[in-house]
Amino acid sequence: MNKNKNLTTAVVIAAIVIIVTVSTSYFQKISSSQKRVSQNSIHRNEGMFNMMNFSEYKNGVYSTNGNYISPGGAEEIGVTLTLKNGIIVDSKVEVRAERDISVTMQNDFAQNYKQFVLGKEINEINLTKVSGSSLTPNGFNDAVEKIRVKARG
Amino acid sequence: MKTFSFESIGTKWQIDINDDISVSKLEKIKENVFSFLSDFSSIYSRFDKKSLITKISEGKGGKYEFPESSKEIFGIYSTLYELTDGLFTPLIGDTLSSAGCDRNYSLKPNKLKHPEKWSIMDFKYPVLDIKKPVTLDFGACGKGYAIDQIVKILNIHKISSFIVDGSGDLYLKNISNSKVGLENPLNVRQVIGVADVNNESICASALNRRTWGIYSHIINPRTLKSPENIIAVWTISKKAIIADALATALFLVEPEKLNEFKFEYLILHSDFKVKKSVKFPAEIYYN
Repeated sequence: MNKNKNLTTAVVIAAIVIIVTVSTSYFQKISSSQKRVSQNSIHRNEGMFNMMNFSEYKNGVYSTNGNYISPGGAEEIGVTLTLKNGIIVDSKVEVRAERDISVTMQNDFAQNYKQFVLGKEINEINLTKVSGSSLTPNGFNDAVEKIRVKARG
Repeated sequence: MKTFSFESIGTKWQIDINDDISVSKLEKIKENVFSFLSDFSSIYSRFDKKSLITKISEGKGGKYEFPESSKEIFGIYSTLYELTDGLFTPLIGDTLSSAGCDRNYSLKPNKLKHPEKWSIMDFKYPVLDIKKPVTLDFGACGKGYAIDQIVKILNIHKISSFIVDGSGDLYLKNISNSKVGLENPLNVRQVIGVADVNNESICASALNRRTWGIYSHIINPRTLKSPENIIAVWTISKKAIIADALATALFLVEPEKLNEFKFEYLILHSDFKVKKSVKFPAEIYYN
């Protein structure tokens, strides 16, 4: 029972940190496209869920409500995780906020958090190879780097 | 194991050879691979200022002669053009360029043009007869074709076990119990699952990195928009050219439209829901 509590507390804390980061960067970069902003901000929290070790936990579905204090006051969020062999195989976030801004933040979180929750860190597994497109054409990477330098002014 | 890495046709390559071979044999293999890739680029790359494709785009239309590789490459494009009602097309080059994916990678989108119809050209090996200058783009299967040719070179040299890795598009020969990680396109430190691939090719197409503004390297010719509902596709087939081409085609049409090809697929939607063929040989780390 105690274990379950630790687990859910950890997840809820992580969720809240992400929501707060997302909300901060919204205010900072209100003119940028929504998708970009939420992706960038979430990237800073990359791996947060994966730093948590669930290997001691039994397979099953775990649910809890998380309470936190937003700038406007107390808010609540619902989190459900399905664990299998120490990996989160499914997850659900229920938006329970009362204030409009918190509802927006929680919705944004609910739409974007999955990529950081599901899956496995590459360095945890002994892989033959990785199939994906992260190693993209050099020309593109160069161009992006140039734009980045320019953007810094 | 012997490994060599290099850059060619705008991407990074790595070839791992598990056989115990002499240094001179390895050198011979390298020579064959580099010579093939340099010939290939001089014909098909729209990023190469002197390539045949660049020449066609800067010309006035007319007749151009292609090497033997064109049979297979034009063949797969024409089949997929039909199956996708024109969505999968080599004539997308000018559209991609106007979106900013041009030779200088300006990444500055201008007003997008719909691509020309296939009917402006007529290909009868070895001659392409084209009515006006257009930028052809063979990016959807060019890398796959190159992987197949490198596999062929390694087979000619009687290498029994190897991996050809063209930046995440792979061919694995006699690698038992392989574990190919399926990269999470939105968090590349993670994989969403692991596939066991052997004596075939696995190719990926994802919208994570090659994205600027609202565009990515895939643009739907009809809507002139980049797909939004899918973030990654993996395909497995005996031939890399097929796996590579279908990984792009699946961003544009449903898998059922591509039934005449023998392949397995896994589609990762933007809400992280997975759709895969029954026999896609992978363990996925979530539902």
